[in-house]
Amino acid sequence: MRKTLIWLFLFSSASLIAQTELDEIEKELREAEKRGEEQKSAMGSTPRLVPVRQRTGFIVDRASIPDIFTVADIVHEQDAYGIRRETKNNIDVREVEFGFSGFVDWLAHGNALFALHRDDHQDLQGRYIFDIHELFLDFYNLPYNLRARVGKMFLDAGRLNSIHRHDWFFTNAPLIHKAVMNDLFVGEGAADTGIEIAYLMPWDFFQELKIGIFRGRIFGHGHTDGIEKAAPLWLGRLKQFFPLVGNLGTEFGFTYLRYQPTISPHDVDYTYGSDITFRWFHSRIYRFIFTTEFWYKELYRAPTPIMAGYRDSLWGFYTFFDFIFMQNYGVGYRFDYYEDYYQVYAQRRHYLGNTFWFTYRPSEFAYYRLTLEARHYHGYDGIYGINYLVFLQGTYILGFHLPHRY
Amino acid sequence: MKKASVCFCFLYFFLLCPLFSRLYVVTTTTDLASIAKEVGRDLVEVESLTFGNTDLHFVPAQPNFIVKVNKADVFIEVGLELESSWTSLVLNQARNNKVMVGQIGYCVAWQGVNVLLPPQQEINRSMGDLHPQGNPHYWPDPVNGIIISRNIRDTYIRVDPKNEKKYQQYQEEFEKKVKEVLFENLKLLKPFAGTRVVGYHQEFDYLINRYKMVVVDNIEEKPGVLPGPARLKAMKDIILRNGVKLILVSPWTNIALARKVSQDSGVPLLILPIQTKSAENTETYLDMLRTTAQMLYEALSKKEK
Repeated sequence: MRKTLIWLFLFSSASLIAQTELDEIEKELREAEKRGEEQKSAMGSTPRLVPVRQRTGFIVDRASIPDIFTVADIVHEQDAYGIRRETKNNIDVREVEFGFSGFVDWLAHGNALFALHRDDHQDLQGRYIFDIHELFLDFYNLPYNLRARVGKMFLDAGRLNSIHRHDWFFTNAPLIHKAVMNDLFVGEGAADTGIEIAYLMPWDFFQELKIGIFRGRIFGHGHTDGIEKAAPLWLGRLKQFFPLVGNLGTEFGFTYLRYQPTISPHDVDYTYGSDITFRWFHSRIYRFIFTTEFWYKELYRAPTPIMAGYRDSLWGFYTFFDFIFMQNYGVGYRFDYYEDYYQVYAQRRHYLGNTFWFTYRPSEFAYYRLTLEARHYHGYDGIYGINYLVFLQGTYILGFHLPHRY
Repeated sequence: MKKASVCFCFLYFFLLCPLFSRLYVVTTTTDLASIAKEVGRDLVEVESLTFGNTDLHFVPAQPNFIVKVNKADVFIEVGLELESSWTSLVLNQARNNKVMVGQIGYCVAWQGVNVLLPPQQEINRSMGDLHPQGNPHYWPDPVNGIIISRNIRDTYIRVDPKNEKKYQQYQEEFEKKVKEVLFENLKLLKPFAGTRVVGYHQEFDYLINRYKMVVVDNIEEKPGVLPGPARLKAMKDIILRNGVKLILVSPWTNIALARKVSQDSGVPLLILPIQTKSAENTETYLDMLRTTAQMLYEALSKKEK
C-alpha cells in the first residue's frame, strides 16, 4: 500500500512537471503568435524590410533610402627589374567608386555608379577622370522569363568585363582582355549605353541568352563621345551553369561582339569569346575558383582611294586559379597569352604573362594583396625581353556591399 | 490502339496530374525544406537551395538557384539577414514576381520567433558580422521549429487556399511530433540544466537555452571574425574560470581552432550538426532535433563520469 502511494506520488509529480513544461511551451507559442501579428502589422507588405533605427534615434523606413557604397582601390606599383619602365613607381589611388542602388518602383531596380579614376591615355597624361561607370534601370520582372537593362553598363562580354575591377581576384587585367575590350589605358573593361535583354531558357538547368544593342560611338573605356556610326554595337552572349559534385559547379559562356570602328559601314570588328569557370567552396574556410577566357578578334578595313583593304587579327587567353584558405588568406596564379597580326607591323607579335599573388582578406569588405608579375615581350609594343613588376593593393568598401555574381 | 490511348489518358489524369498540381516550394536551407515537406506532404514538392553541411552566411549565388526560384510557387528563407548576401541576387534575377519579398509566395520563417541578441547599441563593422535584427540561428530550438511550421502553413494557405484544411491538419500533426521530441529531449537533458558551454560561433544559443543550459562565450570574439592567438589563449582562462563542461562547434565552421581550444583547456569538443542532413541521423528536422539532444547527452554524461 505504502509502495503504491509512493509510486502514485512520483507519477503525479512527474506528470505535474510535464504539464508545467507543456503549459510553458503553449504560453511561449501563444506569445509567438502575438509577436508574429505585431511584426506583420509593423512590416506592412514587405516583411524583410524592417525599420532601421538610425544614429538620431528616429525610425526610418529603409525603402526610402537607397543602398549607398564607396569603394576605394589604392595601388603601389613598382618596376622591380627589366627592360623598360612600365609603372610610375609610386603609390596612388587607382580608383574610387561611388554607388547607389535600390528599387525605383514595382517595375524597375536602379543602379548609379560613378568612378573617379586615372586615365593614362596619351592626351590625358594620367589625369583623374570623373566618370559614369554604370547607370541603368533593371527591369527585373518582365513576362516570358525576360529581363532588360537600359542605360550605361559594363558589357556582359566574357567573364571579367562585367565584374568591377575591385572585385577581381588579381590586381591588373590580362593583356588579352585589355586588347579585346580596347581599354589599354584604364585597364578595366568596355562600357557603353544601350539596352540589354536577357532571356532565361525554360529548361531545368540554367541557360541565359543575352542580346545587347549599344550606341557604339566608341568601344572600350573611353572618356570621349566618339563619332556617329551607321550601325550600333551588337552583343550576344549565351551562358549556362551546371552543378557538379557537392559544392562544385561550372559556368561557361560564349560571346559575340560586332562593332563598327569608323563611319565606313565596311569597317567592322568582330569579336568571339568563350569562357569557363569552376567554383568550389567549403563554408567560409576554403574556396577555390578556376577560370579560363579565350578571345579572338578580327578587324576588317575596307579599301580606300589611297589604301587597299586589309584584315588584322588578334587572339589570346588567360587562365587563373585562386584558392582561399583559413577563411582570410588566398593565393593565386594567372597565365596570359596574347598574339596579334597587324598589317602595319607586318609580323606576328607575342606576349606572355605570369602573375602570382597573395591576398589577405580580414572580411568581405576589404583585402590587401601582393602581386608579382613577369611580363615576357616577344615583339609586342616593339620590344623583346622580360619585365618584373611588383604591386601592393589595398581595397575597401564603405557602406553597402553589392552581392557577388557567381 | 484504342486501349493504349485510354490507358495513357488514365495515367495522365490520375497519376501525372496530381504531380503538376503540387506546389513547388524552394527553401534556402535543408531544415526549412524538411519542415515545409511535413507541412505540405503530398501537396508539395520541396527543394532546398543549399546542402545541410553549409555555412549559410557564405553561399555563392549559383545560377541554378535562379532556375529553381523562377519555377517556385513558394520561397522560404530563414531571414534576419542570414542569407541576405545571396538571396537578394537570386530573387532579383529569378523573374518570378509571386515569390518576391512581400508577395504572396514569399515566406519569412522567423516571424514570431523570440529573436535573441538584437543589438542594443549602434552597431558598426568593427564589431564583426553582427546581424542588425538579432541572432538568425533560431531553428535548432524545437519551439522555433513549430513557429516556422505555422508560418509555412499560413503561406501555403495563402497560395493554395482550397487545401487549407489539409495544411492545417498536417501542421498540427507535425507540431504534435515536434512537441513529443521536445519533451523527450527535455527529459533527457534535464540533469544537465545550468551546465555551461562554449560555442565557436553564435549559433548554439537558441538550442542551449531551450535545454536550460548556458552559453558562456564564443571562441569567435566578434561574429564571423577568425579568432587570433590572443583570443585562443584567453579562451582557456574563460573556460576554466566559468567551469565550462563542453565546447561546441558545427561541422561547417573552423573545427581546427575549436580543437586547439579544447586541447589547451582539457574540455571536450563536440561537433554538433545543427542543420538537417549535415551529418548521420539528421535526415529530417525531427531527426536533427533528436540527434543533437542525444549527442549533447552523451558528451555531457561522459564528462560527468
